[in-house]
Formats: sequence, C-alpha cells, structure tokens
Amino acid sequence: MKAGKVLQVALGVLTSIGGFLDVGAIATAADAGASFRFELLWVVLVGTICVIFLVEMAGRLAAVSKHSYADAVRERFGFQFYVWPILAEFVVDFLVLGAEIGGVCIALQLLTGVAFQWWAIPVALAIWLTAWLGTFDFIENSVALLGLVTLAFVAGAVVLHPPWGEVAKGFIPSGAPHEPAHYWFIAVSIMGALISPYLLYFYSSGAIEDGWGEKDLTMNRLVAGVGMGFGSLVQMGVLMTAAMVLAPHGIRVDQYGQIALTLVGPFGEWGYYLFAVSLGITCFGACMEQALETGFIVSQALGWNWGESKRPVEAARFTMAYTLSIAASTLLMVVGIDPLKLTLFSMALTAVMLPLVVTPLLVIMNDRHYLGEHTNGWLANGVVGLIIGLTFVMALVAIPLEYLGG
Amino acid sequence: MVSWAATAEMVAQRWTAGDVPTAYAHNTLTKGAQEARRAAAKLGQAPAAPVAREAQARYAELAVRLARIDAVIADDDGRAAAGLAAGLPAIRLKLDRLQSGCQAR
Repeated sequence: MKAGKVLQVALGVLTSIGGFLDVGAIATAADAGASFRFELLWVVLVGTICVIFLVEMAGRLAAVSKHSYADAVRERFGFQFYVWPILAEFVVDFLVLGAEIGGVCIALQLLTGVAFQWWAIPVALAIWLTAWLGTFDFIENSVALLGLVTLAFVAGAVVLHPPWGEVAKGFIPSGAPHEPAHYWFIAVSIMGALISPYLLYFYSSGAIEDGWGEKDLTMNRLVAGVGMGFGSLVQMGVLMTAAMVLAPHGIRVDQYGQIALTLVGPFGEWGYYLFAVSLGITCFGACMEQALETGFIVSQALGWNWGESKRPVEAARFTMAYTLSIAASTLLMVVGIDPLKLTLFSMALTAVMLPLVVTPLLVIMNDRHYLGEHTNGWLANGVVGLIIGLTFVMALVAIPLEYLGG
Repeated sequence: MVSWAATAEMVAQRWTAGDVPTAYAHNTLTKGAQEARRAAAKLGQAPAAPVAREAQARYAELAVRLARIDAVIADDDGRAAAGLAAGLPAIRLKLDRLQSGCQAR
C-alpha cells in the first residue's frame, strides 16, 4: 500500500474512533454500567459487530455503484416505498439532533455553570456556521479527530484497575440480574444508539462526497472494521468507568451531570473537564453529521442538488434542509426538555424504525445492477439476515420496554 | 432517591477535594433536593399507609439536608459541607431499607 493510501486509511480509522461516541452512546453505556456493572458489555460487542457489517456494506455500495444508500433505495424500490423509511428517519433525526444539541449544551453548562437552555441558540448557530462554511473533509476530519479526547474513558477504565474476570464475564449474555425491564430497555437502547440508521445514509453519502471508487474497497473495509472496532472500545470505556465509579456508590444515571463523576473518579479535577470537553466535542460532531444527513436524505429523496463540499449557493435547497433541521431541533432544548430523557426516548424510537431502514439493504447488496461482482457473500448475507431479525424483535419490544423500564 | 443521596454524598466529597466546581455542585444538589421534595409531595397525596409516611419523612429529610449542603458550599465552607455530607450515608441506608421493604412486599 502506498504511503498516501496508508495515511488515508489511518485518518479514516482515527476519525471513526474519534467520531464513534455520541450522546446516545454515552448515556446508554453510562446507564448500563451504573445499573448493571459489566453485565451489558455483550450488547456493545454484538452492536459493534452489526454496525461494522452495515457500515462496510454502505461504503461498498457507494464505492461500487456511486449511489448513496438513500439514493439506491429510492431507485430500486420506488419513491412510494422510499418515502416511509425516510419519513421515519426524518422524525428520529429531529429528536436525535435535539438530543445531540442538548449534549453540547450540557457540556457548556458543566464548563460555565450557566443553565443548558441558554446555550441552545448559540450552539445551533455554531453548528449552522460550521456547516455553512466548512467542507465535508474539514467537518469529518477536524471534529472527529478532536473526538479522540474520548479515549480518556478507556484510559480511565484502565487506571481504575477493573476486575478483568468480571469484565470478561460481561461479554457473555447472562440475562438480567435484577430489574429485567430496565436491563432489556438499556440493551435495546444501546443497540439503537449503535445501529443508528443515519450512519448508513451519512457514511454512504460521505463516500460519494469523497469520490470513492472500487480502489477504495480495502480502505472501506479497514475503516469499518478497525475504526468501528476500536471506536466501540471507547463506549466500553464509558460503561466500565460508570460500573466502577457510579455503581459501587448506588448512583444511577438520572441526569447527564452525574455521568461527569465517571472521569472524576480516576482523574480528579482533570476528569471533570475531560468529561465536559469529550461530551461537547462528540455531540458537536454528531450534530454536524445529523444535520447534514437530514439534508442528504431530503435532497436525495426529492432529487435536489446536494453536497457539503459544494458552496451553499450551488446546493441551496440542501442548505435550506439542514438549516431548518437545526432550527427545529434547537427548539426542543429552548423549551427545556430534559436532554437525557430525550436521548433515551430517541434511542428507543430508533430501534422501532430499524427494520424499515435495514431490510432493503439485503436486497440492494445482492443486486448485481448496483454491486456487480461485489455483491454480498454468504457470511455478509447471513449477518444482515440476523441483524434484520434482531431489528424486528427490537422494534416490537422497544416501546413496551420504554414504558416498563425506561 | 437512594441514587440522589449517593450522588450528593460523592459531589460534596469531590467539591471538598477541589475536584468539581461550585456551580456543578450547586446544580446537582439543587436538582437532588428538587427531586426529593417532588417525591415527598407525591407521597403526601397517597393514602396514609405507614410506609408511605415513613418514606415521605425520609425524602423531606433528604431535601433539607441537600439544601443545607448547597448553602454551605455557596459559603465556601468545606468543613461544614463535609460534616453535613457525613450524615448522608445514614439517610441513604434508611431509604435503601425502605425501598427493599417495598420491593419485598
């Protein structure tokens, strides 16, 4: 592999690690650790395997067919089918973007002491300005690379000297030790946070923006496998620090402020600021991705000109779509909705709509018209089949679990 | 409420050690006291079962304790904060017992 290519792969892997966490991943992992110690580590592992396969496929589809996932679904199944997953995604995007904006606001509240609601409009303006002025590469690389600060969670978990035997047991599903409804609600929410449909749309649209071709398939595989694999270590770090700092004291995650204590445990005062910065950067990065993804799917649905690397005047309706999306989601924080409750609700709702988004992938990834000789093999098809089965189960139980154990 | 009592205890300890800012301690303690008051008020509307009255009293006690810790932290009085926080494990234990008792029934 040439030096330039190695650098590109390394950058892709690093941005995947730095961009792995978002408000949902932090909230659900911390809740899991605080409530059930290491018992839910297996869910993070299963979710990561699922997301590695899905992201690899979305990238392969874009690289070979030059279609984003949304574009391919619309073309293959027709607009009348496509409108349903997109409408569902639109609703989820609205809520998740609100939760991500809430995450940035909470980070600023932790740093300044000023209540989070006051930060909603300045944060929205910062997101919009970055989207307006920045290019796709700038957003992807700068924010995600800054997100490497989240490795503090992994360092924190190691510093606390975890009981490795108990950690290893956490990777084996054992069922709920107590509060089964809450246990399964968190399990579904972790999966909802990990297998986020926006990742499929955003990753494939990003591959188109970056002009990927068949020569990039190895890079795609490495970024998906290594990047997402190591990225999940960060989420496991959040879960483990919560298990070792919050759980022994009987602290549950009732609000974001309590999660800050996870890094105060191993690092003292520095840990407090590391947490605030980690939360702020990861959520800001996720806000950018969510807002742009809304622009992508709306524009691709309606056949508008789109692209973050284009000047706003060249893709005016795409720009309008993400602008309106940011404005609408900001209102959720302005009116003072609890960001943690919104996050957990959004993650459960994401789980409900997953089958609608993931099922068409199986058909498209076996269509030679799009993939040529790069269609799925038996392993990939088997895994997607299992993921689809899993998403149907999650969709059925998510809302009842939200009611019983959320 | 057990979780809020534990949170307040840890926050007070960490504030005394200089690990968390005053504003954070204030926000967390205010939220904890608010939740405790809300829970006590909710129980006040419930039928007058002895266990409900006991829980209501404990929640009210917790709310008062958290407000007092918040006040001494605002005065930058580390010794008083540590003294008041030292009483939280006893309240937490009572709440824990109440919760276990309710679950057992």
